[in-house]
Amino acid sequence: MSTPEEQVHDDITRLESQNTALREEIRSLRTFIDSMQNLMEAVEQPLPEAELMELLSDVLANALATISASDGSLLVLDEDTNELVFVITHGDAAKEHLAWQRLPPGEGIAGWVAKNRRATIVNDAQADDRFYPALDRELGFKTHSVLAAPIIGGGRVLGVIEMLNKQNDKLFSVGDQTLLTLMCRFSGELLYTVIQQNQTKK
Amino acid sequence: MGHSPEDTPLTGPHRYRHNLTHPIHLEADGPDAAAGKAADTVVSRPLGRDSEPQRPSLDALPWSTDSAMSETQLSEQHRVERLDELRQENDALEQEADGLRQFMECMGRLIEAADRPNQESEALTLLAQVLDSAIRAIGAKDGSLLVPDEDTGELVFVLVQGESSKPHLVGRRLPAGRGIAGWVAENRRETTVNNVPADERFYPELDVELDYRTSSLLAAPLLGGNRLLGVVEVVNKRNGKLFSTGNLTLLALMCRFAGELLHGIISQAELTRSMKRVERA
Repeated sequence: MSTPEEQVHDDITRLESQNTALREEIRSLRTFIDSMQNLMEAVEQPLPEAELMELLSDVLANALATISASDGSLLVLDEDTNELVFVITHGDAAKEHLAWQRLPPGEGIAGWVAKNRRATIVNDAQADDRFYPALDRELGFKTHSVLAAPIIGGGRVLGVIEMLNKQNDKLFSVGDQTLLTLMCRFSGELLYTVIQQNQTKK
Repeated sequence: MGHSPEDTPLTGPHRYRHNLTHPIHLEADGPDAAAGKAADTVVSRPLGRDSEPQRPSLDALPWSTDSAMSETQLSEQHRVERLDELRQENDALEQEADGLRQFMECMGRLIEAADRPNQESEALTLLAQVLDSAIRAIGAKDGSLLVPDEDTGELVFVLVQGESSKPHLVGRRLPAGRGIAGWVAENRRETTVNNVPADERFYPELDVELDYRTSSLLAAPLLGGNRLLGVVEVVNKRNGKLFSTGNLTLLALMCRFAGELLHGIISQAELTRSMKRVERA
């Protein structure tokens, strides 16, 4: 049996680590909520198409901050060819060359996500069948882990957000997946409304 | 979200320093100072609750009966205080995290519901869940959903939930533009009212009639595809507290998300119906 002193010491250690974990969880959820709120406010005014891009860029940046990944990209579905186009990329590695590259229909983890309309976590990308290594090679980049979720609005897949390489060599968690799924879905529905409004005006 | 330590005088590790008559070395708290952010909304939680089974009895500790404390006894006292402080912080953090988790769960359920086929009949069930989650995530007593009657411009109470559930409220109508909900519908924006009787938008007739007392209220529009689908009200924060900006943000987000998804369901259902009409013709 442990003495009361030892018990107190153990309780302190346990609570300290619990509280640290809780603070991290709250921080992440608050970042998420803030970014959703920004998005909601941004679509309150009519949005010209040019500003849509900026909005999407913010969504991606917020997703990276919430989930603590180093790199991320937003791919938009080209409905004519069914290719996914890298439209926005963010992150540590300079990857400007990635912009406007296209993934053939159904290729890559992002292609799988668009096709199946669901999010996925791949914590060992190089070993995954769905991984499309051509871009890594071309860009001299090394993809370790991927978290990807579809942007769905009005029942249609509009695109995919991909997070690459969780920071500090950690793995993506189910909690990360939930956050990204929600973020993508909320953005998708709002975007769909904005796009529809823009089309009615034309 | 930058909070300086001064913002949170009750939550930092320094709070016990003032109580101590002996100079005691406290470990630097370092990153723990950030806890103030999380805890500052819940400091009024009752202290010394009885749910602390692991706490060693005071009598078991030597210093409780001995006024001349040795160095080790002092540090022992310090540890017990530190533990107490950590427990309070833990309670506050848990409470905040719980509200946020409720919110996330609600958003997750909305997505699942929207992705199931044939959910038109579920629209109201879905909204009942949203309302329930909102009441719990925000820590309020009651809540209701009002839906506009597009012919008369009135708002009709369609769902009423909470502990003091007032079934008589269901089906009641707010005249066009009246009440705080009417204001929300007209302006398409959320609002917090922490002193309802003093607010000139308040429509007191229903309170009088139903013998209810609305003291604080949050209301947000349900918007989908740019149409107003309804207004959600969350009424009377628990423990006589006030609704915060964070509470309002949660409600506004929940409503907006539900509204957009519901709008999808409704237009999908409308599409299905018109498709079937075409098929029959």
